[in-house]
Amino acid sequence: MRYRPASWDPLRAPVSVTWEVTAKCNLQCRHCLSAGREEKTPELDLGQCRAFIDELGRMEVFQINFGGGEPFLREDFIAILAYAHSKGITTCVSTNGVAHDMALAAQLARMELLRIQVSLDGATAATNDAIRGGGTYNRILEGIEIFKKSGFADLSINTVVTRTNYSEIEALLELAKFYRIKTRMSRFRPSGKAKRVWWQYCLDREQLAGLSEFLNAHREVLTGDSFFSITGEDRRDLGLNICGAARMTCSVLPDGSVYPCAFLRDEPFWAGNVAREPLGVIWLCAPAFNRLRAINAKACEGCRRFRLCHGGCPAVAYFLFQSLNHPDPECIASFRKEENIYAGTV
Amino acid sequence: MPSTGSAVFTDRRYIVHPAARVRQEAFGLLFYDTKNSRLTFVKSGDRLRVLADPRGPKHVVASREAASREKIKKLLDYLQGKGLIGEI
Repeated sequence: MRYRPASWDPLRAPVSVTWEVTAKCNLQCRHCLSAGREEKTPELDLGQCRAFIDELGRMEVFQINFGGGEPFLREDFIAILAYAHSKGITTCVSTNGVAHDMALAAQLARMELLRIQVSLDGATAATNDAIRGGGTYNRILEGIEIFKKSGFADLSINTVVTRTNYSEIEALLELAKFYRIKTRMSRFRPSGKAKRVWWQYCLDREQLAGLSEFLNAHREVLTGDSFFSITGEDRRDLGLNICGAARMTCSVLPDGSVYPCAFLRDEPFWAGNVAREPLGVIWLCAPAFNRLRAINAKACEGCRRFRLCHGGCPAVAYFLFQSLNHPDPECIASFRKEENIYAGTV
Repeated sequence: MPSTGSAVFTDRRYIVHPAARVRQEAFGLLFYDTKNSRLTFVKSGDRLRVLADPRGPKHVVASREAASREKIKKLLDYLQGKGLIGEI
């Protein structure tokens, strides 16, 4: 493949890389961003994983966000984590939390550069289990308790906020406080199996506005880079104000395929494969990355919120409109503008 | 050696905190705090450089360029205040 350097001057390496190390999972969550792929998806073997981590170390990538599938279903996953830490790379693992025992948790508690996010999609069994599967609520809480008993320090629950669990976001925060762990809320995005249930689970406008107010009122709730479209002034200093895909981060699938982010992995966004070419070359030169870096949501430039979101998340716009140059469809400013038009005030 | 008032622009080095990471970018330095994943973008151009020794911690050194002394001193003070670097 021949690459052409970008005209935009990107960082010379990603800040973080999201790496789905396996497609295997022991749950069947209805909104899984990764599902829809065969469980027989090829995986990089341990040698290839180590070589890739060597490359990340050379590039001075700061953090690897491990996901899947369920990463702990890989028998060599502890070795992968330890190798990343040996290179000084911080790791954050997203796990469903149902397959941990004290021995594993104690081993993880000794890893200083490790953070764990346990997925929980409701503050009640009824809500969570409707999404993640029967009996999972209790198993997840048992998993959290195991981590706490092991002395694991940097633990959070991670909730994908949907129409069905929106009413429990306050209770989820309280639940995390009860366990003295952090709360992270992620945006529901149409990727993987979630495409099929998008209209069933996506937040309505009132819920988006309510979530915005909730996040503004609770700065302690972590959101990563999910919620550009509803970020308020009160959270300006808490994170990025621009989509990080191909600018700050990228996503690697179990077979080594590289995409700009975990939510943009249709064929047009394929950027290369780390088993065949260095990530450093892909990062700087892949046409798919350069296209994304060149996005300019012109419709948003006049908006007073532009400095907060720069057009928001392109993945949702791409799913709904097959366009990257479209404002984030879940933008609260556009909702308000439309409401004003209907009210005859504009 | 310049006078003590501008000592920051001598060969004085700053050691990067063990819990911090830093790398050189086109705009200057990019710091990462392993304790909270926070990034710090330092728009210093090439007036601050990272010195890497594979056997030990990284160091940050400042340019001797007189024109930017005050700006660089403020940047270094800011980074020290955030606990990302320490003077040695």
